[in-house]
Amino acid sequence: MRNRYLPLALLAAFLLAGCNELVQENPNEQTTDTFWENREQAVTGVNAAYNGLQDLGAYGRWLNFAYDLRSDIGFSRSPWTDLSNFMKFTFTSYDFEPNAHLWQHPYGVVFRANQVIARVPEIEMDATERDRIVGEAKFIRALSYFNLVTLYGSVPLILEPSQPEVRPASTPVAEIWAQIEKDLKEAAAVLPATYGEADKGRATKWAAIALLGRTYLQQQKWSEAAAQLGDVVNNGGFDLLANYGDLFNQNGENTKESIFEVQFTDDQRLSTGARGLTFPQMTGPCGPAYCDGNPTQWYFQEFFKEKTTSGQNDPRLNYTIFWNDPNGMDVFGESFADRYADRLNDLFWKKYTEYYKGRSIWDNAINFKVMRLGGILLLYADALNEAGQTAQAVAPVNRVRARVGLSPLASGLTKEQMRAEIEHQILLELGMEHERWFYLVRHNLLTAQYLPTLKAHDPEFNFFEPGKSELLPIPQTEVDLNPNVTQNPGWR
Amino acid sequence: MQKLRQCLLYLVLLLAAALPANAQRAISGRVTDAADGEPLPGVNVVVQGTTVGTATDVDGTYQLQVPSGADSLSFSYVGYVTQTVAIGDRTTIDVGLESAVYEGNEVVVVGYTTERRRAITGAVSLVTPEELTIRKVATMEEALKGRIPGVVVNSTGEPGRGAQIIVRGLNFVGEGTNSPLYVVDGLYMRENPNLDPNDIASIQVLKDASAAAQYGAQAANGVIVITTKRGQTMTGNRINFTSYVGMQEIPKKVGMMDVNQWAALNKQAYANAGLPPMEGAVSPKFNTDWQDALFQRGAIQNYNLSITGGSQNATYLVSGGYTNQMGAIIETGFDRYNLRVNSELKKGILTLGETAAFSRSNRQALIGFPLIDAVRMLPSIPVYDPNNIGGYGYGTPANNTFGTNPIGMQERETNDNISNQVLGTVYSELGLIKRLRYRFNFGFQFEDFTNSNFIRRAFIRQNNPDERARLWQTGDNRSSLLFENLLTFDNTVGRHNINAVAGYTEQTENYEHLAAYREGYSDETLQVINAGTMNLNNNGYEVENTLRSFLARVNYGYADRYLLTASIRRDGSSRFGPDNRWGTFYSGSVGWVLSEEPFFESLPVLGSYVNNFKLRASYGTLGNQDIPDYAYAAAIRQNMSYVLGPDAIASGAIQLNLANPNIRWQDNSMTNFGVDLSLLNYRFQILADYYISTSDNLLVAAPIPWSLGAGGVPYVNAGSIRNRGFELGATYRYMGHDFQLNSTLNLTTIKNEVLSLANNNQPVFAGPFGVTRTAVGGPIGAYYVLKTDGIFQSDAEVQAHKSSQGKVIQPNAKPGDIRFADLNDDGLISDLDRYNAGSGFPDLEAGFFLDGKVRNVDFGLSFRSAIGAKIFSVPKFWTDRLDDNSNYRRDIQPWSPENPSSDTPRAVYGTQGAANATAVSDRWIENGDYLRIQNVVLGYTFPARFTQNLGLPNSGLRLYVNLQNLYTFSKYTFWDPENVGMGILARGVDDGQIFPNVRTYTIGLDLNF
Repeated sequence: MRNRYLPLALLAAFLLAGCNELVQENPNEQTTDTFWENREQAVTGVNAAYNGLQDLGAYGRWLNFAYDLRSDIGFSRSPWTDLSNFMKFTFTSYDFEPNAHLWQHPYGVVFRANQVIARVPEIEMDATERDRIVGEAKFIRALSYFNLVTLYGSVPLILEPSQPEVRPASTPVAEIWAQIEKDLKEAAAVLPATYGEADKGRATKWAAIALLGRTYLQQQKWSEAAAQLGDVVNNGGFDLLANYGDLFNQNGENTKESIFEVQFTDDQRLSTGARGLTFPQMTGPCGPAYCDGNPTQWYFQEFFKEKTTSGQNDPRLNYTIFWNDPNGMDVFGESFADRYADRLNDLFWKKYTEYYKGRSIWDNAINFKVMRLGGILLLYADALNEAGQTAQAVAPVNRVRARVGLSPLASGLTKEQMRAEIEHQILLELGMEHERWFYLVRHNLLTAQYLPTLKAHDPEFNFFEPGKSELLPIPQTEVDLNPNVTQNPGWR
Repeated sequence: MQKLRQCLLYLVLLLAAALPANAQRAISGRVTDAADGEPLPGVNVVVQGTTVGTATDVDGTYQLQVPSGADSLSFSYVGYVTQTVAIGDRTTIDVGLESAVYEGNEVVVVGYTTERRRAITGAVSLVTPEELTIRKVATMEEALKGRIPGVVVNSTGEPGRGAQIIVRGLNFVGEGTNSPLYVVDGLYMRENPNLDPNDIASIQVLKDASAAAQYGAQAANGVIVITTKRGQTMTGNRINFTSYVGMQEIPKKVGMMDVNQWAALNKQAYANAGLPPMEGAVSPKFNTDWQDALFQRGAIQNYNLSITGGSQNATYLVSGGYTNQMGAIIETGFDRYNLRVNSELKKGILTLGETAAFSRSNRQALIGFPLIDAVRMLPSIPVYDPNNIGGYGYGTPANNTFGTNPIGMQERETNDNISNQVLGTVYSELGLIKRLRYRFNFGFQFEDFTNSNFIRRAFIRQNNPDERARLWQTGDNRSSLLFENLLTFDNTVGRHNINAVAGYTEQTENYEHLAAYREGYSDETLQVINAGTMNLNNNGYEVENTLRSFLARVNYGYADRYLLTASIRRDGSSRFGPDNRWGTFYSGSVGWVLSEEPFFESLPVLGSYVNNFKLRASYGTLGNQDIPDYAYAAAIRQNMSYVLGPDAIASGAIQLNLANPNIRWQDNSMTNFGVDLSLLNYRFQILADYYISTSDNLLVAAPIPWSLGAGGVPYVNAGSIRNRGFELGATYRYMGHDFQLNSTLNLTTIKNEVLSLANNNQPVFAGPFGVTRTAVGGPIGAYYVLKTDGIFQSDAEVQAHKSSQGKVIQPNAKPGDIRFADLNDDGLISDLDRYNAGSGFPDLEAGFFLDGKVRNVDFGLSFRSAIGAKIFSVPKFWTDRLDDNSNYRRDIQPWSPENPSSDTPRAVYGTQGAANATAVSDRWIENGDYLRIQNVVLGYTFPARFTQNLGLPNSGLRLYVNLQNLYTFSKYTFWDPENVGMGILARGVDDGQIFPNVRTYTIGLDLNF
């Protein structure tokens, strides 16, 4: 029967028809096996490392809570109790979102930078550009560890692209600082002093040197710090903007004063991965923003200690704080007196809000100034004064004072007087720019002796426990998953 | 959709018109019980091949006009074997019906073969058609609840949300699924098939490796085989109409404080913190009951119409249904239209057939965590406040809370999940040569899933960002194809029975995703992408996978006494790297039917009371490939861009997630021992199984330390888990004339133990605040928390709480604060003091069913219970933490000097109360034991006379009342002790996103003619 074989033939056909290749290539993405092969990929790789700096726990949001609001210049009465607790050195869970982000996100940046540092040198491309890209990644890595070591102390030091089975161990603080110095020196050697217009925003040689100066400064290596910061001040070709307020709007980006900025953009390009600065939406004034943090009264009063030569308030006040200024204060299109008629004594953070747009949204397009000449001059002065060169510190301080219409300093200030003046200028110049916490740390002010003063500045310090609250607790998940990490003292 | 219903009606009329009319003659007779000669009332008597029929009266007698061409009558009655009798020239036909012998004659689908229950050696359970029809269930999962030992079903009350089904414990740890494989008429599905339960003929669950072996790589978590209804050969055209309508409600309301009670305690909390009272507590203006605002009376309705029939060589079924459900929480609902066509044709050596189901459903899902907010929001805040943008009330400095208005959360957002699905199979079977058949089966599933999420501009929380109205719309498209080529061989030689299958199967799946986003809607009634003006965004991706298998299986039986099954298969999966794609898996089982031994009847006791006695044992391994596609290679993520220069996008791309190129098949091996026992003329049956299942090379999405800086969790093959369980199903059936009873008790125990884990046995933490821990030597997902040890009554007690070294453990505590146990005795309360406080997995789950019939009245009663589980209650954390402004439970009495005996700490607003509110403590863990009256059904079947008078001869009409989830005995403070948890690793966590199971009252109607 001939047709008996027909089914068998059909069967064979079906069997063969199914035998296409089992392998399925990922149609969506390249893999690490196919990437890191050409110049374009090297550039997109390092761009992605910069992208990580926009994360919430990097420069996007939470550092302002950790450095400014946790310090004595700010406080929180957020209805988000756990956030308010964070400003009061208190946690119900160490995995509390901001604390988790402050740990995860800089390490995310480190992972990206480590990939660039490990893989780009293998790529065949122009050697200068290749070295530059690796240098940028080293700067980015150093910047991440600079924040991690300041907030968490002894943390794992990871210098290779991460592998799933690795459990990196807590590393002594001194070794982390040493690695930051090494990365920055290597970066400074290969990075250009400036970039063409299209690449403005990448790390320059001067950014690396300035951060190296700050690294020495935090380790109280005063003369080394002064040498690096002086190099930036004297040879970097930077200059102050005429108007202090221009630093904090969209016109003040990548200017002659700028040494390193994290670049932010508005919410129209979220699909590209590029994001905006989001802390101002949280810390800005109630109504347009959420007022999850406010300036302390003590900080506010610092601005009234000295009038300008023309008898006015220090102009930095009205660019830093929304308050009920008798001369008028516009808060997103409505006067302070009208908007807050029931609480005229309240103070709100103004710096970095887009008050000039009339409306506040999450993604704010202002670049965050990580280092700018105005700040570096004061840090330079701080380094000189602590190194015993008080007289040399006068000139940089006066440059900062002159811009805002303050008279030059009287001559013959003692080291202590000069220290007080520098601290005062840092407060006024660099509020909401992360510096206050660094200052408290390097001048040993987070201590039992100074604690009563801090409590007077900011009652949140009533919850500060010496020996514990100087550092943040390492997130619980890290401690749970990584047996080689040691929780910070007091948080165990 | 109106149109669809019209079409259906038209189809019905068309078919009805085709019914033939014939000359008739009268036949009468009497139907009795063959055993005792007692008359049987209500027996269905039908002329074979037609719709003509009647039922016997109280005396068991019947009269019937049969068409002249009719050649036989069929007598059927619940609990008895259906008998077909040739008519011949007779006008009187008396029949004695045999009591049904359930055991042994049920046909069970086991992989690619159907076997008689008697010959099965694996662990297989089934839900019979009767069990499905007595209780009208809204979903297929509902039918499985408590029904099958070893099968755990956890559901929610959310309309249209699938339940979680776990067969025999957990073989998998990670982000993947533990869900079983569903095989619907031969089509493999990994997710719960959205079927109309009216279309289901039977459900079988294959639990052990031997039974599941033929379905291979996807069967490692058990297989649920669903067979849909078909037309019967040689029956007339029959029309079935079923419908029920009812209402649903949340069975419980948590007792919260009214505004005055709340204000008093809130003032106390502020006073204890040394703060002036909050304005809203001093002069409250509202008294909102947020639960009343959030819950509503839901409604459910279901209609199904089916037409079936068959000739000698062809059968058909056409069925259409509509279900509509309005949830018991506002703004939730589900509706579904479904249509099914099943048919089969035999022509010579060729059989052709198809099953095809079309459905469209729309689900409005629950949004956010409304149940937390329903107890967290202050009673002093109104639900609606016209002064706010969007019109909702929320926290203010005077009523300071960060809670979200749960009503606003549901109302401001439309959330439509629309699924259009076509699924089915087309098959052909050829009788090649004697006893050898070739079958080709083509299965298909096409699904379009669209989600539309429009959020109006509305403030619902204090400090809410002023976000523009926005729309997310996603379109997902899945096509899944299955090709099966099978050769089966069947032969009986003397007492030897052999049955073998060899086959080749291949499945491919393609999944495409496309999403679009816009915001800035000046007219919020235009909820389409085109009407948005700002922040245009979109994304899309595609994945594909292939699974290929070769298999062989042999069943051998000698004299129905000694049984043997062996399988081998080789599976290849595209999910693994090139070197690890293929795996080989074996299984085998043996059975010994003692009751078939010649000596059995001579045994004392056993021989006289035991009708069937079978011992079973099986062992086998199966592979598991439940990991995402392409997981073996580390992807470079695009669109990690930065801005440079004059605000220009600089493209970025880099690796974000780690990957494991060596990932390979997980091996699940299972040993099963079972006993089947039937006693007392099959009235009493016991099925008992004990199994040990071990999963090696466990596919674990092992969390990695955050310091590695990588997102996601790479899959590794590491570790193993052992599940052990005992399952018992005991059934007693009583079949009297006027009274029938069918009662079943099912017991399930599951004990899982982690034997080893990835990364040097690194524990896996999961759940909110990392509250559960999966560690070697313990069970999956044990709560790992601080131990509370009462309340400090005085400063002296604070000072007396010392370590053995004399260190005061909680020096900052005040009277009224919680005393935590310093379990490691280091003088500190820290992470190291956490202990295992039980888990969300019950030790014992039970189902008890009592179904019966008294004359024309039928009833069903079922209970379900789970014992030994603990619940971590996130709602309780929010109501009882007392350092945050929430509403408080009416039952709590926080410590105060006047109320020193309390076990609730003092209320302190803010940071000083934070220690008492520590998230990872056993304060939030509760006993999860419960006993639930799952179902009460009462039905009445109208006598044949009645329907005959209605003009519907030869028909059945039943009306019933069904009460589901009538009452739950439980100590749990919040809504529902049965919860689906937060994934397998955090089972038992009530996260406040879970819709409590609802109580449902329905009345229904079944009509067939």
